[in-house]
Parts: sequence; C-alpha cells; structure tokens
Amino acid sequence: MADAHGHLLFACGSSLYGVPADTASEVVNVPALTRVPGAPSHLLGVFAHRGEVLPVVDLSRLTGKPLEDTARRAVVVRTPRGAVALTATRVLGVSTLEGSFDRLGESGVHQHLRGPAHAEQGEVAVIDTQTFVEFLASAG
Amino acid sequence: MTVTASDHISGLVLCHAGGQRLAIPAQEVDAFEPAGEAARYAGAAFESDARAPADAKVLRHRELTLSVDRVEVFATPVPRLAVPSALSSSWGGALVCFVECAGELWPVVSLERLARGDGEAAR
Repeated sequence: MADAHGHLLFACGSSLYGVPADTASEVVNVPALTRVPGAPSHLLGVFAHRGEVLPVVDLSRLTGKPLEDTARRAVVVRTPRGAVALTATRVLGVSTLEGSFDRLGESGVHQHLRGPAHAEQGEVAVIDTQTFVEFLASAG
Repeated sequence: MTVTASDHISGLVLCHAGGQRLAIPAQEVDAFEPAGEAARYAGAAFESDARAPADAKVLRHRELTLSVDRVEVFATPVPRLAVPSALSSSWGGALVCFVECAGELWPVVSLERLARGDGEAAR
C-alpha cells in the first residue's frame, strides 16, 4: 500500500522515522536546553522558539535505543495538542512511503508508531503524530 | 507574582540548584537567607541524589523551606510562556509557566510544591 501524502523522513541513530509532511513545520538546530524538574528521561529539556516553549523529545531513549552521541537537530512537529521537537541525527527529506501502516506495538510508544513502511532509504516507522503528542502528555 | 491582563509576570526569584535553573514567584518567598537548618534541596527535583552545598541559601515561605545554591531577584515584568502539553502533567503539574530572563529560559515553579517534594525523583 502506498500513502497518498508525503512524509518527512529522518534518522535517529540507526532507525528511520517518518512524520506526515504537513505536520512537520521546520527542522531546527537544538540549542542549549532548559531542563524541567521531574520530566521523564526521554524529555531532554525545553527551549524558547518564536515565542513558544518547545519540548525536545529523544526518540532513541523513548524507543529504548539510546544513542552514544546527542542529536544536534530536531524536527518540529505541530498538532492540535501542541508542538514537540523530535531529535534527528539526519534529515532525509520528503518521500512517499509504501508498505504497511499497522501499529508496531500494543503498548507504550510503539502503539503510536506505524509500519513497517518502506522508502528508498530503508524501513521507516511512521509516527502517528496526533496520538503521539497525546501519549507524551500522558507520559510527561 | 502579578499576572497582568497582558499575561506578564512581575517579581521572580531566580534560583540555581544543582546546575539547573528555577524561577519562583516572589509572592511565594517571604525571605531568603544563608542555610542554617535542614531544608529540602531544589536540586533533588532534577537529580535525586543531589546535595545542597555548604553555602546554600534557604528560601522561606510560611513554615516551608527550600535550599538552593544561589538566588537573585528579577523584578522586570516578563511575558509568561505556556507549558507545552507534553509537560502538562510533569512534576505533578507544579510548573506554572516559563519565562525568558536575561536571555535564558526558566521554568517557573511553585515553592510550596518544591518544598513538599511533590513529583521528586521522577527520573
């Protein structure tokens, strides 16, 4: 099955992720972060960006694949429930995906990842951005 | 803390604790003074094993006390920045908002919640 809309693809460590291109507002360099007391470990901190506070979510920690190095860039995703910046070690651009869009798990973050989808660059986990942000709010 | 119609905050006590930053509404701070008694250390909200330095300052609000590394008063009104939804339940909902002071972003938190240890050691 192919999706009708493009996805912004990015890597976090050895894993590839995709978000619907219309939810990805920009790619930013991650500045010095302000830590938040009591925040879960996948929430690296926050920074002020264009008059709002964006939380930076480390996908590698969230999915249990911690990186040796810190990602320096992040993809900003906007949904009606809020915006988050997702760490990225590489940004690969917008692509049309094929393959499966089934849930990759029944619990935790994996129920908000879909796939396995396929792009030229390899297998992609597609982030269901709407439910993903709701999950972050409940897990925060 | 004064929240005006334009959503600005006037009067913050900026605190450093364990290498982290915290801002506390000045209205919640009756006094701050050199540490002379055992008080909960704000740095423990970030790292559960953090310990207050010997020259810590103690913030006082009614019967509550909280120790930090150092403090400064910031009186200039600053816009309040909303807490992102991903953090809305973080730290027991104690985050009031964020502010930018002197070019840095500060989480504004309740001294009462910090002093009581709500949500501590969540990491």
